[in-house]
Amino acid sequence: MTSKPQGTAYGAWLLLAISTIALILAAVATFNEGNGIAYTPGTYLVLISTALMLLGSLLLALARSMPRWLGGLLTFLLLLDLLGTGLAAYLLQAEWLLGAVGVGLAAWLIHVVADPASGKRTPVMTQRQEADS
Amino acid sequence: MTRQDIIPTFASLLLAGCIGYAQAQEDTSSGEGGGQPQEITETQDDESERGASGDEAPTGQDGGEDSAVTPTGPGGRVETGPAGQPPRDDGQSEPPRQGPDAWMESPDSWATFNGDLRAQKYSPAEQITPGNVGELEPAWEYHTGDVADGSDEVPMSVWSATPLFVNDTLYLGTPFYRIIALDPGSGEEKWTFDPEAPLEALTQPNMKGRGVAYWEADEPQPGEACQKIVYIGTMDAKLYGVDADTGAPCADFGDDGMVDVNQWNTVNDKWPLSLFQPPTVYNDTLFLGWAGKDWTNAVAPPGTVFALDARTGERRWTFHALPEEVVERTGTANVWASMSLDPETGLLYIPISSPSPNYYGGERTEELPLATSVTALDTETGEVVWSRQLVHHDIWDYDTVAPPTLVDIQKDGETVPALVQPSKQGFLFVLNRETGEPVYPIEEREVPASDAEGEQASPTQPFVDVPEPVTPDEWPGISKLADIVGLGECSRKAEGLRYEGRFTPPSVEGTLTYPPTTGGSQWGGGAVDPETGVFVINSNSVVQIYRLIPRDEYQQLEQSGETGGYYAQGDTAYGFQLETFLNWAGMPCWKPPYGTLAAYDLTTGERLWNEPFGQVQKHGFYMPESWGSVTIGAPVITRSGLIFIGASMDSRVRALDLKSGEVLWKHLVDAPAVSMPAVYTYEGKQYVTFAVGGNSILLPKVSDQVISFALPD
Repeated sequence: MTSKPQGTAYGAWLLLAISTIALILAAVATFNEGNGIAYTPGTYLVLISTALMLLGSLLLALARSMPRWLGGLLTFLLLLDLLGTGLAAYLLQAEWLLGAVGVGLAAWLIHVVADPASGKRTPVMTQRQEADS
Repeated sequence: MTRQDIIPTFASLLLAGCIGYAQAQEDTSSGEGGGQPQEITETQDDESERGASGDEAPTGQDGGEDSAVTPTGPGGRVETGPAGQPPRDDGQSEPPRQGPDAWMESPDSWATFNGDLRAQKYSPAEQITPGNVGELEPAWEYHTGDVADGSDEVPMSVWSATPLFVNDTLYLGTPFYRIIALDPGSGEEKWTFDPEAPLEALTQPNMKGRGVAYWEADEPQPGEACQKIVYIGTMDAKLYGVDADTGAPCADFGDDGMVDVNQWNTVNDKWPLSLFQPPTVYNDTLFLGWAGKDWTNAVAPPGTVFALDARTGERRWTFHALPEEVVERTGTANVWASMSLDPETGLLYIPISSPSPNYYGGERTEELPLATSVTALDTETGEVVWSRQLVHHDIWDYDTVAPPTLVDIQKDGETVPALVQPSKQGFLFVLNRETGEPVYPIEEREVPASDAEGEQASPTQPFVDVPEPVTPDEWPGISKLADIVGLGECSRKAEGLRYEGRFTPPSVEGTLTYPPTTGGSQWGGGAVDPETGVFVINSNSVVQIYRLIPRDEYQQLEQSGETGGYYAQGDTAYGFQLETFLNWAGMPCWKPPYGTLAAYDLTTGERLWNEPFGQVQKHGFYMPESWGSVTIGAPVITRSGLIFIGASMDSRVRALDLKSGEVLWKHLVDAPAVSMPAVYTYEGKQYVTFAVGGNSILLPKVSDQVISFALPD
């Protein structure tokens, strides 16, 4: 049985927007010479991690019918990505990127708390929920 | 694990993922790193600018000039050149001409490498204060174009030049040995001079330069050329003199503006006498040391200092630091760092480096009293007035590394003419500069014996307790964090090493050495406020492993192509391996901080403060401030109570409060600013100007930036 998510996933869309900004900031940190960190492994690392963050949040926002377990895993991996990118940004002293990651964490929280459930539910879960209701 | 450990732990885990990349990056970028896999990889760079081998017999000849050789001091010799005066027969040195050259005494100028001849690195400027330094902003910026990252034919550049402000002009010497004259207020180029020196690593692995020197006639004749001269030396031992107003070569100086110093390289002359350090200028005379190549050979050019006529380049005298009878088995004991000079007495203070080979002395067991010493010479004759050896039978490469800072200190109601001599081994020797006698006690203490065959380590070495050494007596111990990340690797490695405190000799099993050849203190030395007697110095806390490799084993390694971190030391009984004490992830196995900045009250010897300075930067990531940074460079003090210094790995230049050590201002620059800044006043405005060059020891990051800071109008 397929459950179509109802309503807009504001958290996921916000996270997508923040990920885009973070990727741009990471690119600036990587290629803007004279910032003290350009072309270092650290900036390449955040460039990759923010690109992955963008990809993950795209899936979260657009692929609403993915299996629930996959959505959960993606959400968890996005949290790890946010935390890792945040730490890297802190150690790179890339304040704007750190700020963006902070907002991204808030967006992630909104997604977890407020966004409508997405994806297919397992038959067991569905039956249990049906029984509960 | 404390909360403070959490960030470093995460940082370490993140960094570990980057190690492979970093390893590759460092292997290609730091030619002198010798395969040492980490940022604290000093090898034969600035602190080891010395030499190798050869087999010519000592001759005392002088490029065809008439000369006479006179013994001086314990084991030294002076060779008098055609422009010089021979020392007196009775061995009594007469006081040379007294009084400073007027042109270098202006409070607004920064006319010499160390700011003044006394190496005080002090400016009486007071416009920029602790209260307004936060407003400091770039006034202008200039790029010399002379920079190389080592990716093409030109070796990587290492630029440690102090800009000179004198003659209403800012003079710079580049690592490609060009001279550039700039407008000090705008950075606009006035003229340049290019000697077209070969850009090859003839001695050091990098293109290296510490700038220029300036001379001015007592009474310059208007309209006449070369009444003011700027000098620059090159890696291939050429010294150029050009007119300070136009940049045109001075025809009367040497051969159309060039003196080939290598004409006096007549003993063990395997490589040229590289002139990275600009000469010291006083009384119409240039005092010139040289640098060479380290650790490769056992027999090397023996250490000399030349005195040349500032107008003509004619040689006045040559000072030899080694006795004639040993130069077939050793060499160096040269002066590669800058010197200081007391213009009131005309005494020249030279920091003499260690003899070759650096880590095994079994074939140079004689006493070499002038090696690894601070020695005072009579500027007129080159005679030794006094000398104090700071390491006996040096087998640690503890070159006397920096110019002594000359300062009068008030002690027990008397004014003591003193000098402060920093050292790689971490001691600050405070001596009476007229006699060489200690102002604070120096104690000969027993030190461990060597277990290497043929080695005869000195049974005692000089120790200083006051002022407190810049590095502690005991090594810092294993870093728990590095040990955890290394799965116990650091502890296991330490257990197999010999360590019995300072001066534990190099050994076959490996000796944990603290401080090692990186220092302790480095070539920049310290700065002093002559009015308060507060002395400031940056220092490193690094642990390295010294391992002697028996010759047959070394040859096998050579045949197998193993070269990383190994050095031949000629054909002596042992080759040598130098390794910084790191875990697999490239993390230091010892506890931070890795670098500090400290202030001392010279009137009491008390250390006023000692703070971690700078930040380690690795792969772009900045480590916690409490870890500090390894530093290369030197501080400058202003009368207003500020310290200006670059020096750190994190490519920042900073201003600190002299009273507390608190950082009041910092600014990002293009690379580590491993030179000392020039502080000067021009048209009523105070400028602080840094030459930003980088050094592969700290980071594989180079620059050609000159940046000047001032308060907004």
